[in-house]
Amino acid sequence: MDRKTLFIGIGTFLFLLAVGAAVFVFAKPASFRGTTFAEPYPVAADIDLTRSDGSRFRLSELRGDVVLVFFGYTACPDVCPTTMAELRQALSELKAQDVERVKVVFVTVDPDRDSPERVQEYVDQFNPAFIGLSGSKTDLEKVWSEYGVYREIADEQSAAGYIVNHTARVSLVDQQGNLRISFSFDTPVEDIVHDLKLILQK
Amino acid sequence: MKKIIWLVLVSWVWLSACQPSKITTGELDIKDSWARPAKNGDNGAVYFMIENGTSQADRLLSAETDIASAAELHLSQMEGDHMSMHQQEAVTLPAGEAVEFSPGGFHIMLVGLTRDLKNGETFHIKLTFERAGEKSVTVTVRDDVNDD
Repeated sequence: MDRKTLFIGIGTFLFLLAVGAAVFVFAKPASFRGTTFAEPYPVAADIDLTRSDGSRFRLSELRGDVVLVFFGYTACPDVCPTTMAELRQALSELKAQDVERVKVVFVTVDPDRDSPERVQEYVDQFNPAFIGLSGSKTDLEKVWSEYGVYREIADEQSAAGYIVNHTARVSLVDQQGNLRISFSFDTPVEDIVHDLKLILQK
Repeated sequence: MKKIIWLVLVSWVWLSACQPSKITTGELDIKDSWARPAKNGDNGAVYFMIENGTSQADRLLSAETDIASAAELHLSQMEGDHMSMHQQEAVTLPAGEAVEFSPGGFHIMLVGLTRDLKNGETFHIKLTFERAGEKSVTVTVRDDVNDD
């Protein structure tokens, strides 16, 4: 092989490498790590409940913000505190001006034991900016059903009384009020941070 | 024939290399015990790793603590698309293996805390095993998240 062929070879290789890198960096569609909803995105059903301070909460009034919705209950020892701690951690990894554009909403699946005050007090220990919601069973049943929340009261003979088995996913509602992503319980915090940063760019 | 013998030999060596190494400390150890911060009156959970380094299987039968009105063995697990939590009569600890108690899995449920659990504090729980008997465990209160 003469030098010319060698240079052409190396040149071609470097050129292809550069093209490949450019395609990878610029053309790779930004993709979410959580489970995504396909287009056209479903509109997130409104959540209309009374807050612990007596004011009214309407999800539809949070347009412009990214909202993370979780369904749980305050007697829950494991999954709910873990999820709240993870969301607090995720928010702490965002820039201050971005944190203000992300709201975390915890809706109870246990209205018999969780008053709005009780839920707010519970989420306050993770982050006082989190919003804790409860309401009448009729109002909540509508929300659970619209968000596809499975909920089952189980008697496990626990000293805690009954246990509520429930869907443990976190739903992400975008700035336009559309359901965009759903995070399963085992989603690493890093992935939630990644997706929040991506959606906040828009 | 020679080929087959070689294949068997190589597979055997390969398979044994893949097996998780057995813990052979001769003791049952409870490591890295922690609980998330929680408030007086609420419920909490204790997590740890149990390494059964003995040559016989053991079972965790119960837990006791003076910082809650009850301590129970529970398992959270995914059932379809939702999380379920079931109280366990006992948790089996196979010989030479480690069993992890972690968020979304096995945990000691603290029912009705009688005091706040604050970050950095410690408290004690007593675990009772079928073979290893009673073990006192120091639990550190801290806020761990799944960050990997």
